[in-house]
Amino acid sequence: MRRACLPLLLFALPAIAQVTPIQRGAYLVHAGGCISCHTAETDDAVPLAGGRALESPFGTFYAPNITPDRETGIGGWTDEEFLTAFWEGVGPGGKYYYPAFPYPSYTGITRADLLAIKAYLFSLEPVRQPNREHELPWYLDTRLAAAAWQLLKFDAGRFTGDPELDEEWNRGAYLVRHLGHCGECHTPRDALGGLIRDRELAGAVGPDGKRIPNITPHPEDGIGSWDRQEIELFLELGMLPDGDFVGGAMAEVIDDNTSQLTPGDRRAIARYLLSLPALPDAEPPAD
Amino acid sequence: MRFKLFPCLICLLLASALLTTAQAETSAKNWSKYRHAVMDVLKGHISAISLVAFNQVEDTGHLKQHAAGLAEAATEVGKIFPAGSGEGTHALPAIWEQPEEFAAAVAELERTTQALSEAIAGGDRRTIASAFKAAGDACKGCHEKFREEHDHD
Ligand code: HEC
Ligand code: HEC
Ligand code: HEC
Repeated sequence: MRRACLPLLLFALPAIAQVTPIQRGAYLVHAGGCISCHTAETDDAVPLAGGRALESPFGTFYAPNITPDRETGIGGWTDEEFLTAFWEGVGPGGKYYYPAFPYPSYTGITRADLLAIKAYLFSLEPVRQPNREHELPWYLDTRLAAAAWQLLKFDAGRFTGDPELDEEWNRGAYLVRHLGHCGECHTPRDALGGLIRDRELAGAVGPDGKRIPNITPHPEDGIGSWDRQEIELFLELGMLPDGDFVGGAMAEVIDDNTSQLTPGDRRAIARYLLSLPALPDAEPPAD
Repeated sequence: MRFKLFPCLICLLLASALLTTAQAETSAKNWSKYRHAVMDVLKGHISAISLVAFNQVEDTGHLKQHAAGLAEAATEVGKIFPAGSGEGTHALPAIWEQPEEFAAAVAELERTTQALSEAIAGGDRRTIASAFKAAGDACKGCHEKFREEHDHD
């Protein structure tokens, strides 16, 4: 009750008028964090026209142009081709995608949401900007390697949710696991780069060898000492419970994604995070 | 007289050369310690402001002092990153490689914390809320580009 008149709502987008599919798509492009990967890092970069270098332990990937230019972007794609890219990780003409495109998370996105995203992308000004080739070692520099990876490590499937739990929990699960793809950074990977699902969000090592924090509700290693409101405030402003402000890749996630969401969606994310099993950090590998 | 002065001068020079190398080694560490002290002052004030401004505790009448303290401490941030003080700390080399961008991040902190202080003096909740967000964005914006990522626990 003492928290009754939080003015934080002021920061929210003017009540998401989810009227047209295009507006809904714009919102989902934020919730999906597409902008940070698909926009080059130069100051004059056009949003979503591609070109950002994404470092990984396997090489450097360059995110493609996803504006509706017919030659250099995705302007010629049908709805079915768009759905298959996200659901199956395969593009037009049987082009198998590398998981640097987080389709292992996006495979859970609903048809309606994907078509809204497509409607929004297709409403943008087409930008002519040819894609850059990925820089990969010879043994990965073929789409066969991506196909083999899919065979070993990829499970396609829509989000089904848990009918035992309420709508808010399910919304949070959908945002965290699929659209928001938090696990792509916070869940550890095995030697082949597959996510270790039973260690969901228990902290990982980033491409640069730095630790990405455990965000399960473990009291010491994770965020178990944060209350729900502190998590919501973090997702909105980037402020940690002690008044420090987050940096690095997470600052970008907050700017492009979570600060743009409705308070209800941030509440759902916080609810879901606190419902996870509290896992301790992994022991550092003996070397 | 001259004979005595010369070896003494050499001794002095040698001693000071030794001292400077020793100092360079500890200096990055000490600067980082000092930086953390200044940053913790920022953290303390902004955390206090958020707790009061967002009604998590009652106002003890010090909101203005915290806001003024935050704006005052912000003016020091531009002075605590001397060249060569980054080694082994969370301060990224970009601070010294892109001095103009770094100076802009410092200026943004000074501007937004000053605006927050004014907003709090003014008392309008809506203005305070958006000024608070702008100041937080200045912290986050600089940490995004110039501070190494790390686990906070
Ligand atoms: C973590 C970075 C990342 C994020 C986040 C991301 N993408 Fe991508 N995306 C990539 C990369 C890298 C590729 C290229 C993969 C390849 O070549 O195998 C790609 C490929 C694509 C393609 C296929 C383009 C083509 O020309 O074949 C589409 C469409 C696409 N992304 C749309 C999106 C949308 C929409 C979102 C947000 C919901 C999104 N992406 C989020 C990195 C990302
Ligand atoms: C102009 C850049 C810049 C701005 C603006 C900035 N910081 Fe920092 N901050 C840094 C850097 C760089 C470090 C790492 C310093 C080091 O490790 O030597 C740091 C470290 C910190 C730390 C860690 C201190 C510790 O004891 O570990 C805290 C807390 C912090 N900043 C809070 C804040 C807050 C709160 C604000 C805004 C009111 C802010 N910072 C604004 C650059 C900045
Ligand atoms: C691109 C990688 C990436 C993605 C995607 C990502 N995070 Fe993060 N996250 C990080 C990094 C790196 C940090 C540590 C930041 C720092 O150094 O301040 C972090 C920190 C955090 C923290 C603070 C933890 C602590 O103990 O300090 C929380 C909470 C968090 N992320 C939640 C999320 C949620 C929820 C999502 C999905 C909406 C998400 N993250 C998506 C990389 C990511």
